[in-house]
Amino acid sequence: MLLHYSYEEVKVMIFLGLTSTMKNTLKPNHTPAIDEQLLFRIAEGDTGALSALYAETSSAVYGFALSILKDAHSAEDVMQDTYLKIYAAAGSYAAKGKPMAWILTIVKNLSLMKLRQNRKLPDVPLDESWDISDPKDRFAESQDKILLQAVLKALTEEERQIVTLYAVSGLKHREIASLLDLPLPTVLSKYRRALNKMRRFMGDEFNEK
Amino acid sequence: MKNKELMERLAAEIHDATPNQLDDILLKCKEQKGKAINMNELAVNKKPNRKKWTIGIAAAAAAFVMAVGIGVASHSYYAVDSVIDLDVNPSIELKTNKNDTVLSVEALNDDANEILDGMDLKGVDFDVAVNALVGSMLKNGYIDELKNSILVSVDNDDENKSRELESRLMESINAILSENEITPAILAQTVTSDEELQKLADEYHISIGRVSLIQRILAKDPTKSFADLAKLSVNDLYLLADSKDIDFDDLLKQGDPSKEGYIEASAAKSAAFSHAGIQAAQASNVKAELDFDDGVMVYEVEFISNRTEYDYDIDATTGAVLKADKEAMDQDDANDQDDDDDQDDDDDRDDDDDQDDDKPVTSATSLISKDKAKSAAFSHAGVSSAKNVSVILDKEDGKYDVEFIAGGYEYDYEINARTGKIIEYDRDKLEGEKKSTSSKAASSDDDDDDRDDDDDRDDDDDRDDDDDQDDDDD
Repeated sequence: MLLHYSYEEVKVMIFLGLTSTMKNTLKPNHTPAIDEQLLFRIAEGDTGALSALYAETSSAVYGFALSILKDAHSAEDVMQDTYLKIYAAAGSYAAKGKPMAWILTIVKNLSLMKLRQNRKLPDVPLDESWDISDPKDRFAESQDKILLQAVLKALTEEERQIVTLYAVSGLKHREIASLLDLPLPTVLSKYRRALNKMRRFMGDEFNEK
Repeated sequence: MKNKELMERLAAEIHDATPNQLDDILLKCKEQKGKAINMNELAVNKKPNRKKWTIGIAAAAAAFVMAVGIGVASHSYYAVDSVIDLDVNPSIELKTNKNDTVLSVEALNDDANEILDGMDLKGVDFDVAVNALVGSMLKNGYIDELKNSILVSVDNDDENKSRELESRLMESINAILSENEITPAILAQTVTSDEELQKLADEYHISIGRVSLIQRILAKDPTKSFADLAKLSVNDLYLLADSKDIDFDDLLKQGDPSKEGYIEASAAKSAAFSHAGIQAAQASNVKAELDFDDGVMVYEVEFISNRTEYDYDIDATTGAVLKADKEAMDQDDANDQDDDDDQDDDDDRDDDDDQDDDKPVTSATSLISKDKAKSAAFSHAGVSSAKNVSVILDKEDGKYDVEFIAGGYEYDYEINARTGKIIEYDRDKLEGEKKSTSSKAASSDDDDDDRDDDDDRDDDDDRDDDDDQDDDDD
């Protein structure tokens, strides 16, 4: 891996990476191309279409929820609620060619709602509820979720959301900015900083072992 | 590791971490569906056209729940029961549930935005909301002694509920305005939304209720265009309807629209007489009718004097003469005992011209195309597409017969084949769409048609949307 690079070297790499191959970087292969027709069919009650949509979008939905909530169980709840909402509200989807942005707006709203609910539960402090070192937690089980751990442990809330959306949603910078209500330059700089932090975190983790 | 690889790996990790909940979700969807169907069945039994809309609103209500951030929606609370339009010049649409709690308020035009001005009426009782809205209209000067007309339109599957809401609305509006020493003119109607109405409403940024009022006026006076009338306030529309003797017997009415913004009919008459250089006593068959022409409210003044027909348009606000026409009367109409021989001779020359006009059109040189005749009829009817369009040239009479079906109506136009002007116009509601006679068999047919129409529109949208996406990718 990149552990033998110095911090300065990595910084330069990131800078070069962002300036020369930003387009490729920001459009990972996992970009799901969702067919709007799926939503129209769902609006008519077609559960087959819902299954197809689920296959295309579930990791984006779950990933984004997790990046907001930092808690696997809450993210699961939000994920389920999201698809139920989609099923109920697909009829109100206005054909704008942006089904993913629409879906992720639902995820965002439901996640924020969940966050408020969680805060109201006095016996479960937020800090513990998302502690991923919890042995029950699925991410702590193996080393191969190291990037996800990096995202969850080392990044700020906004960085987490931005990086996750870049990785799984296929949204463009502009769309991510508008989904998160952030200015576009902020999204770009936070993204850069987040990658930096992730690399450092991974370095630390590996150094410890 | 490059950024791209980093992101790909993160994506893969998230993908692996994503639990599979599909079965659970599908199971719960089935439960949800059961509830939704019950609700739709209710709508179908009553009004076929409403069905699609009801689903849309239920979905919109669900989306609304999401946006507001309240927990799992209980269908009964967020289901839209009534859609209420308030039109003055601001057009506002309220959606309420069965308990008459406001679920959403929408400003349909700019004036309405000013009225709403950040007011949050969601969740409040509907009477409270109406009070607030009418109060704001007063405050912002949209309702006063000069403009006292308010159109209330209620769309509810249950006709009795509609009527009840209308009466309640009239009462509360009347109470607020009376407090402010304004005698209101309130028209309350029950409307049933269909696609055609909705399309016109969206296009002209007015409510479905106002569309339906305008269509009544058009049915009586086909020379007007929908686009022109859509610009008029409810007070002007009401005045116009009054002067055209359109009775709103099937509506709840209270008060008369204010004419105080305009000059008296007698003042318009005097303006015309003085322009014609005659005394009032010299004129017979005097008529003065409030009308709307070329974007202004006018009095159309007509009278006969010295065997000449006069026709004036007098600006109803300023009293200025906007249009003056005079035409000698036909020999037949003239009084034989009249001694003004000279004038008669002059008249004869004019009469010849008239006769030319009346001659059957035999040459095609000066005729407008079929397409032009069709589009003249379409634009008058305010439709952009129609089914069963037929355009037939009637050479004898020099007119086109244009017939088509759109929005549940059968239209029949006679268009002057040379000028493209509308000679006659007729519109009939299609049998199956009639509210009172809707049977189940007929309603299912209608639904099919509606859905087909929808699909077409959706397809068009998709194409546009695709283009957008391509642009984004660059």
